[in-house]
Amino acid sequence: MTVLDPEMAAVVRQETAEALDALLGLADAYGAGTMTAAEFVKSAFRIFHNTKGALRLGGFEKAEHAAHGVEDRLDALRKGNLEPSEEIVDLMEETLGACLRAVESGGSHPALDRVLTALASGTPVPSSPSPAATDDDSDEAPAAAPNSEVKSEDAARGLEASSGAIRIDATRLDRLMELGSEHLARQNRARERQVILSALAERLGVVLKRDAHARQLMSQLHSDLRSFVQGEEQEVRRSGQLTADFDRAMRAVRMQSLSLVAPHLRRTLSEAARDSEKKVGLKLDLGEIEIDRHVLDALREPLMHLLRNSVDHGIEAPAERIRLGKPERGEVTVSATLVGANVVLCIKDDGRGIDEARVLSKARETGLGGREGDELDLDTVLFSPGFSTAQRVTHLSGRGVGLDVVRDAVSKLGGHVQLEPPKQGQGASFVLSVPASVVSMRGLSVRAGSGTFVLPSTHVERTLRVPSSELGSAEGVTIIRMERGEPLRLRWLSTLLGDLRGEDPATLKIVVVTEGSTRLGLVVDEVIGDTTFVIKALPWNVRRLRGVIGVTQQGNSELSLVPDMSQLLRQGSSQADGHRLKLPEARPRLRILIADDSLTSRTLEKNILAGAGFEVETVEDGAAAFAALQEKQFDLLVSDVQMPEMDGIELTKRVRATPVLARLPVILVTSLDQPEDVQEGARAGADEYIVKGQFDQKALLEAVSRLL
Amino acid sequence: MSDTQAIRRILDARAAQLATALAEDQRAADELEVAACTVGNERYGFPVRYLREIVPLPAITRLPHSPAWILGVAQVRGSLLSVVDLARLCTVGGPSSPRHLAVVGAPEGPIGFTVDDVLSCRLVSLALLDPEARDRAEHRAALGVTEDLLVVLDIPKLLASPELIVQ
Repeated sequence: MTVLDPEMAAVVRQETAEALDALLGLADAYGAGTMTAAEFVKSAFRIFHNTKGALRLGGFEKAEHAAHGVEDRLDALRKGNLEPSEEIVDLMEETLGACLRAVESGGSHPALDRVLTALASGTPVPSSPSPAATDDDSDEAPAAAPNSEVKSEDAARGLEASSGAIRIDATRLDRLMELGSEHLARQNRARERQVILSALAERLGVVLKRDAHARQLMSQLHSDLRSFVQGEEQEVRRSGQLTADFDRAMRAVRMQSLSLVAPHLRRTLSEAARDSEKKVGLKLDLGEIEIDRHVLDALREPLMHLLRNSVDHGIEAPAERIRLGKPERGEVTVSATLVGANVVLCIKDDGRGIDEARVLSKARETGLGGREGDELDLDTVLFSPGFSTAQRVTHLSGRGVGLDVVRDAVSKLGGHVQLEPPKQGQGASFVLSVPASVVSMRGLSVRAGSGTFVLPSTHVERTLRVPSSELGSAEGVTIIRMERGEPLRLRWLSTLLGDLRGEDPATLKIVVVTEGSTRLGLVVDEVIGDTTFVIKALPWNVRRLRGVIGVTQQGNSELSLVPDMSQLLRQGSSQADGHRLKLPEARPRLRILIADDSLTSRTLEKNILAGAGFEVETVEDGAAAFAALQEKQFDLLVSDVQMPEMDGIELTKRVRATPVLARLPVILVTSLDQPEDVQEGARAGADEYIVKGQFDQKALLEAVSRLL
Repeated sequence: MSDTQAIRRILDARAAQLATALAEDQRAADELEVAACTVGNERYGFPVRYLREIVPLPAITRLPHSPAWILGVAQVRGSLLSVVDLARLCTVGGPSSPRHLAVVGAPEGPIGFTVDDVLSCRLVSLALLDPEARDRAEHRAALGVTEDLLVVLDIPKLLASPELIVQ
């Protein structure tokens, strides 16, 4: 073969890819009955004829040969007014797919060899004569393209055809957007300065009221300043409007039609179907929706992932479908609607659906599902990273390959993805919601620990101020009761993000955040206010940061982190607040023995510790505890002091006197708060002493984490 | 005909000139211009070729769940960059109190390393560097050490440290 010019090869690749997209579009139209057999054959013939020419020019002889073979078949169909069989349509798709792979890998590919063999053996033969045998006006090749085809092919090329559209270099557009965001930050700063200015004028006014002498001298100055402040207020308002207009115009420039993604989806589906030897059709209903260029690009991967998933795991093999009384050809539907500022995409298949019970039991088996008795949520399991990599789970349950990757990509766009509640035998459907534009977003600026954070408004429901005396606890989790009595789990934003939690003030400031049915109260130090922000990606060396999707600059020079709300919500509903010990998930869980004669205390302590991820066993008195310690391995003992049979002090002494147990950490818990008791406990060898009067979850967990 | 020859002669002369200039550059390449800075007990030299600028330490925003030597992110002239605690990364002895940020241009974008004080810019001769000292932990990303114990940083090697990547 001739040595390939890489530039030429790129052009041929592009042309072959476009030909494949066009062919898939044609096959869809033909399959759906919106195109006659004659039109289909004629257009397909033209595609193969042109592709053959391109492949020859590029020096891809084998691929050219394959394209030529299909062209011959099509010519025979055309001349004989025959209807193409399904096999031949599949062969056409397969041939172009193989040509594309061959072009991408330098001229040959196993797929191409397969196609060539099939073509040489002459297997697929034209079937029945076309009932609607019609005219065949042009024998000349290439034939004039029918309109429908031009459309599908040109969609990918952008808007050039329509008048008034121009092509803009993407980097220039990005630069314009950067300037826009800079402008926005400056606008926020101007607003801050204006507030400072009016505060200054205010202070001057106060001074003037006090001092009669200064009044005369300065009242003119004051009124000048006041009118300046008023002028400034107007100025800031106007410039704010201008910024907003600019921002809108900027966004509009970046908008592209969502339908541009169609060729990629078609190609993905047809490849996936071929690879898994299934018959699948794609139904697209993308409407007239426009979406930011950046969002469109970032959506490609997750959408393709979900499509592949549907074909690989959802759609059954043809034989099975027939047995089930379903049409042999499965169908995947991608539809899009605009809901407010969000684009909601639904990816639905008519396959076997997701067997919830099976997924959940497998998740429990592999330890992904959390503790026993925990309510497991299908959504959480499917999207958890471990689930996707656990091969046997995936194969048995038939779902879950890399869904966490989909979720991450969507999270980065400030959106979310979830599984529609599965219905038996109705296939599966995933719903994905992303903002149509990410140039600027609305958010709530808050301070927590040592930093400020901007919480995207998409997840913020409301803010609350709650006296800290209203904090309660349920199953070891801090909660408050909402108006109608329903509990709201609380988490401290600072600890969720790995910072220290400060002392709680008398009134807690809480931001209620939601995603789907999950709801969480984030405790913050200060709610700064609503803000418009532009998200910046983290620096290059920070490839991935748990809990953070980006950074934004607010009015001052300070940077605020933008938390990954989906991640926070997941983290927030799964672990005890910040006190959970940092244990790698793979390590065996630490075992704690609780000895207490009071059922209430026992249950309370057990719930707190189990909630923090420990394995807990309980006994009713010291003697039973000592027996249990000798029988099984424990990492820590939590014991009441006053118990029948053997009290906590005696138990501690015995533990210390037993060589294998001598180093076991012991926490004594009691209602006694006499200093002598503490001393006696310490003398007996207890490591920590917690008094029940001041007993709380935090104290216990802190004591435990000090010892383990 | 003669015109063509004249042009050829001029071009040849230019080519010869350019070639000489290149040879001179190569001789100078043995010498490296570095910005000398103190970090704790050590003195580090940043080859100025890789250095974008040294600025007073900007406001740093802490990143959660990241290693101790990544102090956070900061904004320098509109670019967002990571701030790396050089003293901690290179386990330098002695108290380090970062006051400046050396902004280095990596192929992927800028990245900042904290230093205490900036001393001077000077030329060091690569031939006179002691490569033996590279084996010490605090010199692990070094081209070598000068006679007066200035650690000359090997910036590409420093940038390739896996510790810089957070993921």
